[in-house]
Amino acid sequence: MDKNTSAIKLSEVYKAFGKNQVLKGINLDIKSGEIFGFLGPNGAGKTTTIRVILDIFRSDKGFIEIFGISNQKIKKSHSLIGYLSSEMILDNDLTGEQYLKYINSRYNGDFMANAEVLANILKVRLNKKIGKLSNGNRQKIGLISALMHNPKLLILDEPTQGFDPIIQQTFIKLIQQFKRKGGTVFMSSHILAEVQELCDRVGFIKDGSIIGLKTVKELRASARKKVTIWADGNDLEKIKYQHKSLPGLHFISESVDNMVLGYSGDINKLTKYLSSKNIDDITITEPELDEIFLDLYSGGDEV
Amino acid sequence: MRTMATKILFQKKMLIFWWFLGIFTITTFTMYFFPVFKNGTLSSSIASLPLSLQKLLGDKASWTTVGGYISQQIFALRAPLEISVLSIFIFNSLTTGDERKGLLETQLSLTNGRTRILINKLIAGIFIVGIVTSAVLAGVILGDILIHYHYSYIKTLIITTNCLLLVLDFGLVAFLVGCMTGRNGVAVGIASIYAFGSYLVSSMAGTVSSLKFIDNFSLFHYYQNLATFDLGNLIVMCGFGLFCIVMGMLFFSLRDIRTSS
Repeated sequence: MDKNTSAIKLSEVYKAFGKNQVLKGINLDIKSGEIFGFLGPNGAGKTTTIRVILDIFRSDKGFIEIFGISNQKIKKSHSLIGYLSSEMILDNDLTGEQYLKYINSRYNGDFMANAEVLANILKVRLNKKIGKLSNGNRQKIGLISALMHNPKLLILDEPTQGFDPIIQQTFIKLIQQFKRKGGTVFMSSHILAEVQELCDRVGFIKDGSIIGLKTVKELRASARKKVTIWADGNDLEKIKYQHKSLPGLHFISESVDNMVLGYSGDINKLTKYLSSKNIDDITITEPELDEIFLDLYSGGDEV
Repeated sequence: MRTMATKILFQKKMLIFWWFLGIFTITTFTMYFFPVFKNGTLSSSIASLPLSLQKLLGDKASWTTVGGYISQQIFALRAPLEISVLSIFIFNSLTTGDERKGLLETQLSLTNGRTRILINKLIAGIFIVGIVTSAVLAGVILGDILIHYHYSYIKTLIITTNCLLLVLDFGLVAFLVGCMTGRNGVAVGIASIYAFGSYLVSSMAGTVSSLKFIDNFSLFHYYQNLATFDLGNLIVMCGFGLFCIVMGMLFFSLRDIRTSS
C-alpha cells in the first residue's frame, strides 16, 4: 500500500445527539502505514469519532472514507478493518474458539491458524466460555478477532484497558509487528506511555474539534523542556528576576537550592544564556507526552 | 456457524428445545382430555350458555368433535397466545436485546451491513418461532394417536400455518418497534398490548357492536383457527408482516445504534 494513500479520511464530519453537538467538523487524514494516536479527555469525542468511522453512528454531515471506500459500504470497508474497544461485548455463551470460528467465517479465507498463534502469544484459553473469562482475557479474545484476518487497518479504542503490564508489552510488540507489515493503526488511548512508544503522529480532540495534529517528534520539539538549575540562593534569585530576557523561558517552581524553568525554543540560545550565569548544576529533560497533554488541555491553545 | 443466523440458532438451541417441549406437552395433554369432555356433561351445559360466552369458551361442536376441539381449544387462543409470548420475546431479544447488551456494536464492526444483520436475525427468529409452532402440530398428532381419534394431518397443518402467521406478525411488531427505537421495554410493551388487545377486541366484537370497527385493526380478526386458507386474510397477515419488516429495516438503517456506554 502506497504510503501516501489515505487509510482513513474524515472531511468536515459533524455529529450531534439531540442538542449536544459532539463532533464539530472533524477533518482527519490518516496515511497508510502510520500509527496514529487519538488523544483527548473524557467526553471530547474520541469514541464517537471511532463509532462514526465504523458507521455505528451515522454522521450528520461530512464524509468518511476507508482506503478510498465509503465507510457505509460495510462489507468492503470493514473487511479491511480490525476493531477492538475496551468496552467490546462478545458472545458470552460461546467459547473463545466458537466465537473466533464465527469471526473467521465473516472474512474470505481461513484465518484460524492465525487465531491459534495469537492465542498462544497472548496466553488465552479458547475452550472456555467467553462469559466465564476475566475482563483481560475477554479483551484478548477481542484483540485476536481484530488481528486474525490480517486487516490493513486497526481501529483501537482504549485497547489495553484490562490488560496486565506483561500483556500490555505483548500488545505493543504485536502492534509494532503489525506496522512493520505495512498496517495502519488508529488508536485512542489514555495511556500516554503507550502512545509515546507506538505512535508516529497524534491528534488532539477537545470539545468535538481537533485542536492539534503533530508527529510525536514535532510535539516534543515544540513542547516546553524542563530546565532544573542548582545554584546558591542569590544566584537563583537573579535568574528568577532575569529569566524573561530570554524569550520562551518560563518560571515553574523553586526550592531552597534549585529552580525549575520551562523552555520552548532554540536550545543553543538557552545554553548560551545559561553559560553567563553562575550555576552549580543543570539538567534539561524532555517533556513526557502526558505533561504536554496536560499543558495543552489546561491551556486550551492550538498545538 | 457460517452465518449470523446459524450462530443465533446455535446459541438459542436450549431455548428452542424447552419451548418446543413445553408447547408439545401442553398440546398433547390438551388432546388427551378430549374424550373426557366429549363424553361428559360439559358439552350439553355449553349448549345452554349465551352465545357471547360460547364465543369465549367454544360452542358445543368444539367440545364434541375432534376437529372443533382442536380448532377451538388449541388454536383459538391457547397456542397463539403462548407462542406469541415467545415470538415477541425472541424478536425483541434479537433486536433491542443485542443492542442493549452492546452486541450489535460488535456485530456492526465486522463485515455485516445493517440490512444483512437484520435479515439474519429475521431468518433466525422466523425459524425459531416456526420450530416451536410445529410443536403444536406434533402435539396434536401424538394426541390423536393416544386417544385413538383421527383428524386430517393436512388440516392440522393448515391451521398451524395460520397460527404461525399470526404469532409471527405479533413478533414482527416487536421487531418493528425494536428497529425503530432500540428500546427493549417499548418494543415488548407495544407488541404485547397489541397482541392481547387484538384478542380481547376480536373475542368481544361479536357481541359488542361498538368494537366492530376497531376489530378491523386486530390481527385476530384475520386469523382463521380453521382448516382453510382465506386468500384475503392471508394477504392481510402476510402484508402486515412484510410491512413491519420493511419499515423496521428502513428505520434501522437511518438511526444510530445504542451502544454499551
